[in-house]
Amino acid sequence: MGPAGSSFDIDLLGTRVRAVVDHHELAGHLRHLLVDAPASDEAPTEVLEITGGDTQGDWVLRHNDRGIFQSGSRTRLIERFFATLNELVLDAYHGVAIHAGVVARGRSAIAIPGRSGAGKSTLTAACVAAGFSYVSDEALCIDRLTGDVLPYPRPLMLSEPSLRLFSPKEGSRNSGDGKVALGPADLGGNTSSVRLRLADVVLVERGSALTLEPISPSVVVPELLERCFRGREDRGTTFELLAGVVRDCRAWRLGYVEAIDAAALLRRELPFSQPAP
Amino acid sequence: MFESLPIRHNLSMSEILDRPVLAAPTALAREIDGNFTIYDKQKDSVMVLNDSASAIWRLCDGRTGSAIAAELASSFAASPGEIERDVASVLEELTANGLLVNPAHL
Repeated sequence: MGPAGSSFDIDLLGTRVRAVVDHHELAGHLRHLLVDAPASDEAPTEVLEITGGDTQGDWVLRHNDRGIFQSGSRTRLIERFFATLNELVLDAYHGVAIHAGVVARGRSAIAIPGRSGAGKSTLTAACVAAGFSYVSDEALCIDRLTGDVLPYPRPLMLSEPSLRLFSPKEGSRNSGDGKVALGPADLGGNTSSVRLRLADVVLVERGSALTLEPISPSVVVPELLERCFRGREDRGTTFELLAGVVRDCRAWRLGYVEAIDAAALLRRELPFSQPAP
Repeated sequence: MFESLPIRHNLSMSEILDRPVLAAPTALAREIDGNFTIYDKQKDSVMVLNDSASAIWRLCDGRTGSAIAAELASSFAASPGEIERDVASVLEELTANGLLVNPAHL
């Protein structure tokens, strides 16, 4: 790797990835976005390489030496880089991963399950800006053996309209042609990097009046199971794990229009109690 | 106390109540917050039971619907006739969804 480029190794949920970036400034930006991802000192199992850009033509993304994406847009390249990273990590993850935004208070995790496009990332970002710690805007990752929630600190991916809701610190970029990657520090927040216990599950209804009502934890089980990333595990085993984890949780239904208002309501109303060891 | 559901299908209420019922081998039930949540391994679907259906499910251990109704009536100080229709409705619903079986058929 020449002086203009850089490589770094990370470990996300047990998948060791080497990022090789042939552009000094972009390398620094990606390092910043992945600052909370644990470094890896073992040989990587996956290599993502970025070349090109600026005067060198289109950006090109390769996975294990195979070209998978090419674009003149740096924003789209970054979006695709993190989408690919996400696929690799979650495909290989042996625990239970559920499509959800996750934030934390102390050692307690709060999960907001939802499909893609449901507004999880925006609400997660709003919660981070409101003072919750960031865990993930993509997946609630549960250890099968202990039921612990594991941090999955990939960057938040926000669309242009959502980005305008916040005042990200210098370091974020927006070219208006795709989702923008932000670290929690760009929102004035921090990342939780420890194992957590799931304390609250919040089902959301966008477009409804701003309300937060308690519901039975049993109601969230079908939602969580439906939002599971399909893996090799037996679904019945996953159901049993979720039922066990949820049994000790509080559950809520949150109606909202504006994510910032919703985050403030959660901050104000969710009981803050440390889970039992 | 119990939700009233219309009885469907071709069985009479007495026929439904005369059948012994047991959780299907493909039904995985877990109690959460006092109510049962059941995963159907065959259909890959989840059903969340309300209070009354959970009380009925808890008694589906091979006894008949009539015995379940009698047990619940004594627990809630109500006559068996008052709740038999509701018990039959719930049993029929759970059977139609593949969550209950006649143990004689296993």
